[in-house]
Amino acid sequence: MRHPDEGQIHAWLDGALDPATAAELDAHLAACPACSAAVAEARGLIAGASRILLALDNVPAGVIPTAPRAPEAVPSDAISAHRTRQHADSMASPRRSVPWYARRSVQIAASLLLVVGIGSVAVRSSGKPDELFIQFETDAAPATRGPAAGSAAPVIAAPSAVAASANDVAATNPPADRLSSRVASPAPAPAAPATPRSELGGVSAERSLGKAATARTREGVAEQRGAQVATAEVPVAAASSPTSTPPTGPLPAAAAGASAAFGATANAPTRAMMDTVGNSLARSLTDMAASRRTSSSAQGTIAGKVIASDDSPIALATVSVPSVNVAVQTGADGSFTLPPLAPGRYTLEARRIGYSSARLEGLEIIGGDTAYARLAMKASTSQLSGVVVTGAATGVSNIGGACVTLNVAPDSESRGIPLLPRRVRFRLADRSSSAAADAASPGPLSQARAPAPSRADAGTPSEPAAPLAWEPTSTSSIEVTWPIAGDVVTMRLEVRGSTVVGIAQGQSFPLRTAAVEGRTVACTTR
Amino acid sequence: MISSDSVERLFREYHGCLVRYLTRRLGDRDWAEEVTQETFVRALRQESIVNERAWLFAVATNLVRDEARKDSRRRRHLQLLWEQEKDSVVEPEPTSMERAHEAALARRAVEALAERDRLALLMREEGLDYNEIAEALGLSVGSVGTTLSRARRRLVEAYETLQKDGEGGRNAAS
Repeated sequence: MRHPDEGQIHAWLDGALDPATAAELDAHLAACPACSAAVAEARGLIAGASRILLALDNVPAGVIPTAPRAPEAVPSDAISAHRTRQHADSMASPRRSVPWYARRSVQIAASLLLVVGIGSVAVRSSGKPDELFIQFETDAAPATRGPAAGSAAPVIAAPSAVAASANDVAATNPPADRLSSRVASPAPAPAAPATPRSELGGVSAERSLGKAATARTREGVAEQRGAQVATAEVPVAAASSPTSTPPTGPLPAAAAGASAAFGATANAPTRAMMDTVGNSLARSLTDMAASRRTSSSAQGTIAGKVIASDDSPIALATVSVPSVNVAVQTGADGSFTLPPLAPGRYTLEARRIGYSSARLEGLEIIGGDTAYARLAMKASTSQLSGVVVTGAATGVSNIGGACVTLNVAPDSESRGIPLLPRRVRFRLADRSSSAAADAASPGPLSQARAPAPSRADAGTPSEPAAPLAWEPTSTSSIEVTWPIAGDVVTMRLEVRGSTVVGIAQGQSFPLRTAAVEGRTVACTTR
Repeated sequence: MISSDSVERLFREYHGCLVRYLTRRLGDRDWAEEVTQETFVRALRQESIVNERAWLFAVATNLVRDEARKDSRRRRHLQLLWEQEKDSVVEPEPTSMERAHEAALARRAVEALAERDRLALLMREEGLDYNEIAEALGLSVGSVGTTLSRARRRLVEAYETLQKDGEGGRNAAS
C-alpha cells in the first residue's frame, strides 16, 4: 500500500474506512515510521479540535436583543419572517437585551399560573440596571370555570420582556381565572422615585374552546412614570382543541430562554403541528416540555459534584439535563449548580473528554429545594494528544519485550485548552513474560496516581503492572521503573516542547508504535 | 405524513445534539433553539425520512445558510451591539475570565474555517458518521476524511496562533 494521505488517516481514526482498506493501512503503519508519526499527529489534531469545540459551548444566551415591543402580527410562515421583523425592530431601537434567566423566570412565572391559580408567586431578577420585580396574584381557583373570558391587569414596566410575557400568560393560561399582576421597576428614569409602583393597563383574553379560536390579547396602555409608554396588541391564534384541552404553550426549545417575543411566535410552529398531526402529538411534545414548564411550587435546582473513580474531583466536565437542554460546567473542585429548574424528575448527564459519560436518572426536585447529585465518571482511553515517546534503557541486556501503553487524558485543572497532554497514564508491561498479553492490552485504567516527579514501581513481572498517572508540566518529569525479563528498566519521562520523551542513559532504543487499539497506542522497542 | 411516534422519538434523540451543533455554529443559543424548532416543524411535514440524522442536520444547516445570507449584515451589527453591551449582561453560569477568553478564542478559530469544513467538523462532533456527513453536506463519502483532516488542522493551528498572538499582546502590554 502506498502512503495514506491525511484524509485517509483521519477516516481510519474515525473508524470510517472499510475493513479491507483498514487492514491494509494497519499493515502499512506497522512498517512505516513516517506514517505512524502522521497518525500520532492526526490523533493530536482530533483531540485538540474536540477540545476547542467544547469551549464553544460556553455561550451565553441573550445575544439577540429583545424586541422592544411585540410584533403586530404573527407571520404565518413563522420564524424567519418573524425574526426579520424582530431584528428590524432591534435595529431601529437597540434596547437592552434581557438576560435569559430573567426571561425564563418570567416564563416560569407564567406557567405557574398555567397550572394552579393559588397564592402568589414572586420572581425577582436583578442583573440589569433596572431591577425587575414581578408579582402575579390570582384570587380564584382555576379550571371548572368553563370557557369564560378572563380579565387581567398587568402593569408593564420598562423591560419589554414583561410585555411579551403577558402574551405568554394569555396564550398559555387555562381558561380564565382572574389574575392581576403588578410590576414594579425601580427607577428607570432618573427623575423617578426609588421604587415607583405603578398599576395600570389591562389584558383581556377571550377564548372560545371547542375549536381553534383566536384569542386576542390586548395589553392596554401601559404607563409608567418616567418611562415610555409601551403598547402591544397581539392577535394570538390560540391552539384550543375540540375537546377543550388546555391550549399548548411554546415548545420546549422555545421555552429554553428564547426571547419573550419569540415565545409568542413559538405558537406558530405549535399550531402548524396541531394542524398536521392533531392534538395528541402537540400535547406530547408539550409534555416533553413539561419538566421545564410545569410547576407546583417554586423552582428548585440541582447541585452536586462530579468525581472520578478515586473520588478526585473532575473539573470542566459538562453536566447537562438533556430534557431541558440546560448545561453547566464543573468548577475546579468538580462542583456544579444548575440554573433554577421547575420541580420534577430529571436525568443528569456528565461528559468530559477522557472520561466515559455518566448518567443519573430520576433525580427529583421537590418544591424549591436543591437536589444533590454525585456523578462518578470512569476514565476512558479516548484521547491521545500527539505524544511521541522515545525510550532508552540502561543496564539491561534484554529489553526486547518492553511495552509501554500510553493513555493520555486531558488535564484535571481548569487551565486553558492544553494541546499538550496534562496527564499521561501508562501501563508498563513485560511482553516477554506470560502476563504480557494482558497487560499490554489497554484495559480500563484505574486512577492510580504517582505524584510527579516521583519514582514509581510498576509491579512484578507476574502481574499486570498497575497503571500510573502523571501530570506533566513544562518542568516536571517522572521516573518509571518496570521489570522486564528479570531485569529492571528505568526511564525518565519528561516534557520537551509539545511532546513527552522518555529518556535513559546509555544505549538508545527508540520506542515505536506497534499497535493501535481504539485510541490507545502501544509502543515497543522492537 | 410521518407518524407522531417517530417525531417524538426524533425529538428526544436529536433535539439536544441539534441545539448544540447549531449553538456551536451560530454562537447563540437562542438562535440555535429557534432553528432547531423550525427543523422539527419541517420534519413533521415529511412523508418519511430515510436517514433521519443526516436529514435533520441537513435541514438545520440549510436553514442557517438561508438565514445567514439574509441577515448576515444585521447579525454583524447585532454582534457589535452585543459586544458593547455584554459587560452589563450577567452570564448564566459562573464563568471565569479564563474560560470566557477560551470561548472567545475558540469562536474566532472556528470562524476562520471555511463553511464546509466547519460544518463537517461540527457534525462529526455530534457523532455523525462519514456517510451521514456526506449526505447532509452533499459531499462524496471519500472526501469527508480530507475535509475533516483539513478542518481539524486549520482549527488547531488557528487556535494556537490566536493563543500565541494573545500572549504576545499581553506581554507587550505589561
